[in-house]
Amino acid sequence: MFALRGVAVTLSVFLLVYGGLSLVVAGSWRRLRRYAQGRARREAGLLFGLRMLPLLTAAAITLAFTVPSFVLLEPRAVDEPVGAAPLLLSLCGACLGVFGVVSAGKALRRARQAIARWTKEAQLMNTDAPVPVLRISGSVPPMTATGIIHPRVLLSGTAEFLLTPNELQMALNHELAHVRRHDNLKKLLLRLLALPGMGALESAWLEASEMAADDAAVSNMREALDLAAALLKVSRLAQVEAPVELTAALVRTPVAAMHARVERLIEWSDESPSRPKPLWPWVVLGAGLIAVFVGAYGHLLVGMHAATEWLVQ
Amino acid sequence: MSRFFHFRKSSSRLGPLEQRLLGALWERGTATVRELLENGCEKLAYTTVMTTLDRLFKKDLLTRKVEGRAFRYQPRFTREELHREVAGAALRELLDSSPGATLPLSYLVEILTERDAQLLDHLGDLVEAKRRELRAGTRQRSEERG
Repeated sequence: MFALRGVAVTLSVFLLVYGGLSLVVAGSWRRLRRYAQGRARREAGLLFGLRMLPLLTAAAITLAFTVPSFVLLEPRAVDEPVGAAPLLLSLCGACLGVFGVVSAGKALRRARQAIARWTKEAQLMNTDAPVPVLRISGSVPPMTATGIIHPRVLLSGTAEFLLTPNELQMALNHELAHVRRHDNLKKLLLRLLALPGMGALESAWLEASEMAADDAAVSNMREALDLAAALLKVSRLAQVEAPVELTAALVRTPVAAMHARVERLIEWSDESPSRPKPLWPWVVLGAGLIAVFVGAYGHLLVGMHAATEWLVQ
Repeated sequence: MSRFFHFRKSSSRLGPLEQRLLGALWERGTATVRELLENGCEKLAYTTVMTTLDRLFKKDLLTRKVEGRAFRYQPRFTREELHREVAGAALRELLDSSPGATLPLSYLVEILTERDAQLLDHLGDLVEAKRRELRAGTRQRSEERG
């Protein structure tokens, strides 16, 4: 009974924090996005960070406060009843977790099937890329980064034929940027944390991550135009097949969604990017928070225990 | 629900002046008739602007609050929200106009494919123009050095 109460309380607190923060994020991400607009890498980082914020905060609060407060301060009584609210909340939390796992599992299976189909007669290409580049026999997908633990880039013979060597190099750079940024792993995490109302935020992140990969792939105007030309050529092929989840295709349908990417590349500026802001204010802030946390930990545990007692009853 | 229905019906038929004043309000955020006349709508009569804003308010596209002896107007929806609603209304009208649902959908797919190809051609032209510009710039610089 003690263990059951512990699990119910832990899952309830987790769900309350996770659900509450998710609502806040769903209602405020558009406003927060404005602070990073125009800088694709920062925007992608901010949007993904916001999407992960509820989970990370809920996990941190659960592990740092809920579990210790319960283990240290809860009497080991076996006859204390568990209220309906924590039972219901923990059940909802468990359902959400199961739904996420099933959804991620399905996406993984679909991706694995698609990759197996694409790479049936694939040949390893001789490139200096840090990950294997495979030439696939079909014409679609023209170019895509696949895999989470062992990433690979797939290139169709048709795309290889259509693109000039420079365009091909820029397109490859774009896919390698996705690999470096672990975008397929991030997509899997999004599936795992599937939550209604987060679709718009996830689409915005997807768009920003494509632009961030474009920015990482090129370093001057000529390269930007080569990548833009590659995107245009490949998008004529990409219309044949819908994108597969957990892969990072060079272009995604519809064409209108690619418009902004090509326009950004055409307007590329060779000016050097502004210097990154110093990190020390964040380090000082983090150290201050840790000091406050350590100093007030005992009081926080007592407060959390009082809150969970109220929840149980 | 009824508010949105009314909004959909009314917003799909905006006159040029209504569109212009709505655009001005999107740019400014909020404005009174006097402020609009002083910034960009100088050639219009006070009563014309006032009547048009009142019409937009009645179409549920603007909100207003009393400020002194005048009203301060504010768009109820963003430009994107209005576009989405207008496009949605047009599509719904198209789908409702035919007894079979698949026929208008096939027109739509046809038009979208055509538009996609046009858009790709247009973007391709832009890339080529920029490439020519870049080559010309490089050639000019090398001539100046040579």
